[in-house]
Amino acid sequence: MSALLEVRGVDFAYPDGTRALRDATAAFAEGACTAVLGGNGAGKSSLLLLLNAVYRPRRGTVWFRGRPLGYGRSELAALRRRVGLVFQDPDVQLFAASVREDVSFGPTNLGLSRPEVQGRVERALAAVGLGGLADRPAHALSFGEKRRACLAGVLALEPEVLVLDEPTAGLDAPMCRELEALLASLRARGSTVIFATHDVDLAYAWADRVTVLAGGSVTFQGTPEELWGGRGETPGLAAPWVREVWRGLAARGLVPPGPPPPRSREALLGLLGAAPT
Amino acid sequence: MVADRLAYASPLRRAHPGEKALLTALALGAAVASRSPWVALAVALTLAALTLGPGGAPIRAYLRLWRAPLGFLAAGAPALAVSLGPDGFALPPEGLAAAGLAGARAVGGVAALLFLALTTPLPDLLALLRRLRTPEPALDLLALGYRSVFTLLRLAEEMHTAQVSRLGTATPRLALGSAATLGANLFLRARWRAHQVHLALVSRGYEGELRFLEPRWPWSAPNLAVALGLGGGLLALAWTVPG
Repeated sequence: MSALLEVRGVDFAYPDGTRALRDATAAFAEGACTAVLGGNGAGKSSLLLLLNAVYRPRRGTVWFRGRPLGYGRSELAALRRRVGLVFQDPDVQLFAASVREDVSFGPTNLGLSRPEVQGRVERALAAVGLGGLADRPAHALSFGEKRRACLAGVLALEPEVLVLDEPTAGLDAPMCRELEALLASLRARGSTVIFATHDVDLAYAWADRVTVLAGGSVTFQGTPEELWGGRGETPGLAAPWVREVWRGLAARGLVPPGPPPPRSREALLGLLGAAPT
Repeated sequence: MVADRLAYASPLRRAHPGEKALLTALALGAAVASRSPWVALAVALTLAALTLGPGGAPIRAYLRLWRAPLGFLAAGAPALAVSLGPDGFALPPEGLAAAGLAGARAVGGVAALLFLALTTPLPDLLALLRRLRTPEPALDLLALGYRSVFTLLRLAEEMHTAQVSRLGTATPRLALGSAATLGANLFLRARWRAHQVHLALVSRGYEGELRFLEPRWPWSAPNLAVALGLGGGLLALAWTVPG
C-alpha cells in the first residue's frame, strides 16, 4: 500500500494563537481505513482540515499522490473533488434549503451536466438510505438523518478519499451501527477512508491502520494489532474492551489459544458461540 | 415556522410554484386595485377558501396565522378613520370609508400571500425566483437566512432552557440580565457558525457562488386555467366594481 495522503513536519496554529499541530508527520495508505485517534483538543479536526486544504500549514507540507499540495484556485478545486470531508456538526455543513439541493451543491460546483448531477445525487442519497427524504428541509431531519445527509453531500463528489470527523459522535447505538455498516460497505469497495475519533473501540473494530495524535503531534502510526498487541499499556490510550475481555478469558483458559483476538462485539460473540464451553 | 410546516404538508406542494405565484400575484393586484371594500373581501374569501380547501391548511392553524396581520391592522386602520379638525377629533364618513377600504385591501392582500406561503415551501419559491432572474446574492442570502433561522432559533431555545434550569429567570431583573447575555452569546455563536459554514462550503468546492440542482416542475393546464380564470376574474371585478 502506498501513501495516498501525507503530512510531513506540519505546524498549524489558529489565528488566536492556539497551536493545534506541532511537527506532525503521518501517512495515509491508499485503500485503507485509517483511524485518527486522540482526545479532545489533540488536533484531529485541524489535521483533517489540512488534508482537504481548507487550512494551510504554517510550516511543513501536505502531500497527495506523491506531490506537495498547491494552494492555487485550480489545484484546490482538483484536490477537493478527490478528498471529501464530512464535518462533525451537521448543522454547519447542511446549508441549503432542502436535502436534495444540499447534496447537489458539490457536484454542481464540479461543473457537471444536469443529468450527471441528478444521477450522483440520487446514488448518494440511496447509499445513505435517505432517498425518501430528499425534498425535506434540513431542519425537519433528525440528528442521525442530518449526519447521513452530510455524508451524501460528500459522497456525491465521488472522492477518492473520504475523510470523516467524529462520524459517530452524538449518534445512538442503532444509528452507530448503521454508520458502521456504511463504513463496512465503503471498505469493501476498496475506498480510502480516514476518520477521526476518540472512540478506541470504533477504531479497533474498523480501522486497518491507526494514527494516534496527542498534544498536536503524531505519537503512533501502525496497525491496531501493533498499537494494542503488546502486553503493556499504551500510554494515554485505553485498550478496546473487546480486547481486554478476550485477554481476560484467555488468561483463565476459557478460550482456545488458536484464533486471533476478535475486533468487534459481533466477532467476540461469534467466537464464544463457536468455542467449547 | 408553522407556515413552513404547513407548506410542506400541503396537497398543492407539488404544483408548479409559478402557477401558485401567478394566482397570488393576480389576487394581490385585485385586492390592491379594488375600489370597493366588498371586492377586496371577495378576494380574501376566495383565497382563504383555496388555502383551506385544495391547499389543505387546517382551519385552526390558519386562523392563528391571521392574528399578527389583523393586530397590525387593528392598530393602524383606526388612525385613518379619525380626522383632527378645528373641533377636535371627528369620525367623518369619508374617513370611515377610507379606513374600511384600506382594511379590506390589506385583508385581501394577506389572504393572497398566505395562500402562497402555506402551499409553497421556501426552497421552491427560491427556485422560481432564480428562474425569474433575481440577482444571485439576494437568493443566497434568503437561502442561508432560511436555514440559519432554524439553527439559531434552536440554539436560542437551548440557551434559554439552560438559563431557566439554573434560575436565570427567577425574577424580572434576573430575566432581563439573562436575556441580554443570551443575545450577546447568540451573536458570537452566529459569527462562529458563519465561519464554520464557510469552511464546510469551501471544502465542497465553493468559489463564491451557491449553485444547486434546480428542481423542475411540470406545468399543469387545469391549474393554470384556474389561476388565470380566478385571478383574472378577481382583477376584472376590481376593475369594474365602482367604489
